[in-house]
Amino acid sequence: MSSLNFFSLENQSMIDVPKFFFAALSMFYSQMASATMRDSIHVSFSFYYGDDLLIPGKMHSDGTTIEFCKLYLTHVELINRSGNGAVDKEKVHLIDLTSEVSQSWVIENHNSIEHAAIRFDLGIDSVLNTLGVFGGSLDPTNGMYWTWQSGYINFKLEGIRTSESGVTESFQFHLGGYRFPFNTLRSVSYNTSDHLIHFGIDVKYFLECAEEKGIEHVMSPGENAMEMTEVLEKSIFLSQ
Amino acid sequence: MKYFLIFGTFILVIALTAGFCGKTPRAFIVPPNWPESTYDFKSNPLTVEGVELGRVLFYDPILSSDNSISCANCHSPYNAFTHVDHALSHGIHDRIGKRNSPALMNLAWYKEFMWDGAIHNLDVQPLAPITHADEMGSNINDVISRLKNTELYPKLFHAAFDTDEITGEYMLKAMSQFMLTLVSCDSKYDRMKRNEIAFNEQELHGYGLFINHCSACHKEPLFTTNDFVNNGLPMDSSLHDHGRMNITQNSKDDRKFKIPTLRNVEFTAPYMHDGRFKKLSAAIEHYTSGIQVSETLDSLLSKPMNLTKEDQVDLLTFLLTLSDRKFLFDDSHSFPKKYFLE
Repeated sequence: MSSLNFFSLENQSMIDVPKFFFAALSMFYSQMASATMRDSIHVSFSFYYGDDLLIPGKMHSDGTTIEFCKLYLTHVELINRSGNGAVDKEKVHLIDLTSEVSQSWVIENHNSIEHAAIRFDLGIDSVLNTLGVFGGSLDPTNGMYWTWQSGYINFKLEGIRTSESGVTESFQFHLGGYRFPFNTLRSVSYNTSDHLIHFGIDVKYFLECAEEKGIEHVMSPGENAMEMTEVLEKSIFLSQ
Repeated sequence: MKYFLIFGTFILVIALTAGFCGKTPRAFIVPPNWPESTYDFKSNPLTVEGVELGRVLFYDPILSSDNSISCANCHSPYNAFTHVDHALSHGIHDRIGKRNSPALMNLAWYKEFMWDGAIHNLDVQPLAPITHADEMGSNINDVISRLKNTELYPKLFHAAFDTDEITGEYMLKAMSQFMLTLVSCDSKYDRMKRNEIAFNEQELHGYGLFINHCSACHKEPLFTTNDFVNNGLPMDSSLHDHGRMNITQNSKDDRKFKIPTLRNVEFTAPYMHDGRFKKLSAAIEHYTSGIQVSETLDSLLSKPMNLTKEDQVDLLTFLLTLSDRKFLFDDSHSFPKKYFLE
């Protein structure tokens, strides 16, 4: 008896038990894998400079070097067509250009909802802003808390521009503010039923818009922070 | 044995539930007839160890970039935790700030801090002086690194928070715990209110004047409403300080500053946000003849107080009854010399 006819009819009586056991085990693992896929939604986030992946400290062809880029995504939620959701157990994600670990996570979809969209808040809400001091992603040591005035910085971008003549100029965009009328928290949603959801942020687009608007830097809550927060929203996109 | 086990389990559950495992809870007592405090003690329960850590941090110049300035430099206990004789706060390298350092007491009842209310929670208040270039000129990450590199602080943080980690959160919570214990509630005024003593005639007359002319803003028993008002001070020609407007960016808040408490006012000279008045009598005189009318002047000050010289003296006499020497010389608030000198 060769191994080639292992599944032949004449050997059926000999192989029934292990064959069905193997098949059942395969089906079980397949179902498990399928359920795991269905129940775990992977979210990831990448930083881009135009079409290029953004690398901290690397000068791009237009003379721009990005040194620091962090942003807060909070209250992430998957939503089905009825508006019900699966809430991310991690309330706050601090996404950091220099930390790969911070750029991806899993949302457990325990109720196996068929999600049609993902929504999140871009920034820290007024409740978290005023409750006191926190650790982890919200610890002031992350460099995302204003010190001269209470409040989290929702998005922080810092870098250097080098002109053709070699002159360097630094820039800082610290977007935040939770008090009326300069509340920069933005609730955004994207239609997707994918289980691997990938976001990108185009920092080049952000800087070009700032230049068009004549906003060279933002260091405090106010009208410029509001305006650049609108740009920030548009700088974030869902990869297809 | 059975009862011992039940009792032991009960105690353990209570300890774990309260989050005090290995730590000694410290009660925060609201004085009789005072409003409820506004600080969220559930998020940062007071412990003996936490308060002690906060106290050591408060007196340690390690918080400043050149190891020269501690919180206590501008907040001395013997002056109700302010900087006596200094109009503006001092910092590293003899730098001078832009505001008079406020007195620290009864902070559990405050929701906003600093003269312009820039800080909205006691827990994050120390970040401002630690990082300000004209004060401690440091940053929180450098401070944490310096604390980790000492023999003392890892032990104190472990005792306070059952952790080998030193983080910004724990450091700030410990500092809050210490500052929350700075409660001044045993002045002559307080004892009079508790019917333990009586005011003399002059103090009583001064108290009446206070109620008629001052108490709307300096509301008892905290002697502040914690609001922000323009009290008619002419704009300082060099500082150009617009106060609350800098924070809200609303012109209606121009030249509004936080109403300070008058408790221990005898010891907190000089007065006002820029320390322009060296004497309390000069501050009183401002309200009788110095108010400058402007669009944002508080409506209660649209008419001057019209106090005679005798009334002003009596009002001053009442204000002196707000001095709480027990608070000023309380050993539990003072320099923890065993950590620095012994």
